[in-house]
Amino acid sequence: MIRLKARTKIMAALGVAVGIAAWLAATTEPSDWRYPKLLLTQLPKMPFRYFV
Amino acid sequence: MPDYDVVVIGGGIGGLTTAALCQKAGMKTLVVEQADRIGGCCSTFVTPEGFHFDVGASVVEVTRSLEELFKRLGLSREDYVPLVPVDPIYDYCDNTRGVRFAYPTSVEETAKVIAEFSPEDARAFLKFAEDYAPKIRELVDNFFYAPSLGFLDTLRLIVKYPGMLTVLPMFVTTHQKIVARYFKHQDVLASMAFQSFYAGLPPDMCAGLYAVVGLLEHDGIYYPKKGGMITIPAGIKQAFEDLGGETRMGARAVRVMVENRRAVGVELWDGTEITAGNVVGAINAKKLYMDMIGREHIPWHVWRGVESLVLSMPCPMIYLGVDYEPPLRAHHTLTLTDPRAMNDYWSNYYLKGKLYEKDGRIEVMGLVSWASRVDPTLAPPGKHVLTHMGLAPYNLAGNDWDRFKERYIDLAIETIERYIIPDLADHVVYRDMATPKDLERMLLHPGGAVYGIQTDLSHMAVFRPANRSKCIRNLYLAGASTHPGGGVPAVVAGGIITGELVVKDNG
Ligand SMILES: Cc1cc2nc3c(=O)[nH]c(=O)nc-3n(C[C@H](O)[C@H](O)[C@H](O)COP(=O)(O)OP(=O)(O)OC[C@H]3O[C@@H](n4cnc5c(N)ncnc54)[C@H](O)[C@@H]3O)c2cc1C
Repeated sequence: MIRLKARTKIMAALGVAVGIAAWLAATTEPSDWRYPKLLLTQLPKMPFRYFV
Repeated sequence: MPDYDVVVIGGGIGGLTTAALCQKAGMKTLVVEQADRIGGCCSTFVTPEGFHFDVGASVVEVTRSLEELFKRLGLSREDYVPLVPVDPIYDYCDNTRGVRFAYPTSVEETAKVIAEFSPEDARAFLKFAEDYAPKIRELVDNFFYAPSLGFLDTLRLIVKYPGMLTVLPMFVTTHQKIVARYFKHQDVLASMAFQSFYAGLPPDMCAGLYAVVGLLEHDGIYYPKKGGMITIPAGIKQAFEDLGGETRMGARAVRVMVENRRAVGVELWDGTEITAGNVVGAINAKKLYMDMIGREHIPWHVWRGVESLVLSMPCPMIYLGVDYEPPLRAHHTLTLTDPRAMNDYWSNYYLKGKLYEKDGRIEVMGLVSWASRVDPTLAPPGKHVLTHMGLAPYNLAGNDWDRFKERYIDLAIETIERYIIPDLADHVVYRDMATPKDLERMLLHPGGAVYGIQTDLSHMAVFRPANRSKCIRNLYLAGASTHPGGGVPAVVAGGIITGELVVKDNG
């Protein structure tokens, strides 16, 4: 079992969150903005949710 | 020596599943349930007039998780939870425009139904099923039963089932986008859109995954042979008790006892303390952490995560007893599910605490379920039961659910009369409803939220409360607000994950 430090985990969670944001930005048409907006408003909360 | 090896808070589907697996592994297990009826949202109550109404859930879409549970228990699912298939899956009906069609279980037959008014969409439906049915089956078969405690679990899952990678784009695109890629006809789009509310979000804000979940219904949807939806939790409870487990009804837990960040038992409303080696919270995760454990035991960053969890949309339920066989053709009939209306409803009504208005008139969106079609014993002879599962906000702007309740039932009946059953009001002999506040009071279910916590990408998998607590040792979670999510099949699957974690961690 690999054990990671909390800092590493936060960085990994942030990395995934930023990755998702980049993916969304690349794949979303301007007319479909509500889902990305929902996710973007949730993005800062995701690293914390990862620990729940 | 603690009183029990495991104490489970909540006798819903999630808690009972976990409890049965722990008991099967030889762990002395107790379930405490605050209500006097088992099953929580998946239950059935009886009125003095002899009508049996399902509290919330009205059908089971995927039975594999129930099969998996009973296989692990070494028992027969059929003996404990007899189910019958429900066909057609649902009827789409709009009498205002003279539109009505029902989708049968068979994909080919469904395409034939669509072909009658849109040959192009019928071909698209076959292609849609061909493209997505294998993917959604793969997702359900793998993701549902694998823990999602951290990124390593996700990685393990992908390494084990590389096909999962083909499913990931469905999480970042929307329901609306996927459906619009295939279908053009307004009524076909409307017949698909309601699936998005299974996630508690409108089609343009809901993960694309939910556009394809409906395909699973074409593998068959099921209803208990006799007794209503309570038959499912009652069957799991029976199995649990046959294995030696104990259930205490009317036993509300008020606190998880925690010592040095380790769960050591549960305190009940009357002050009784029950000690246990492991505690399973099979209730809303946000409520469990915030009200029953408390800030003093939870690190600040976890607390921030808990606080940030968004509850899913509530679904008020209306219960109608009628004195005739209603002119319906399926177990479920949809009303008012035009995707544009659903998108509009979210931002212009739901978020503002209002009910949907069309042409200056309040209309109640939703789904009518006719359970006594499958099981006539749910109503007295010659009578039938109908339930209406609606969409409405928890807080009504300028009004109060307790005051508004009767008016809401009137409005729902008027809407059903307009779209589906013209003479309904003349045949109603029993009427009642569970408002979001009632569901909260009855089930201690915050916000009356249909799936506990909202189901969007930011609340899924590693971002949904974990089945094994990450901050309190010997504390586990089960139920709709944990991975993999809400709905009877997912909650059973989550209960299996949690049960297996408890057993594995305890050697
Ligand atoms: C209106 C509605 C319609 C739905 N329709 C469908 C459907 O058609 N098909 C489908 O698959 N799913 C449906 N669902 C979702 C499905 O019913 C739920 O996801 C599932 O039943 C949740 O099970 P659970 O064990 O997580 O929680 P619950 O069913 O909420 O059970 C939790 C239990 O814990 C008890 N409890 C709460 N607090 C305490 C406490 N402090 N101490 C002791 N006991 C406590 C409650 O009384 C309850 O019995 C619907 C849900 C709702 C609300």
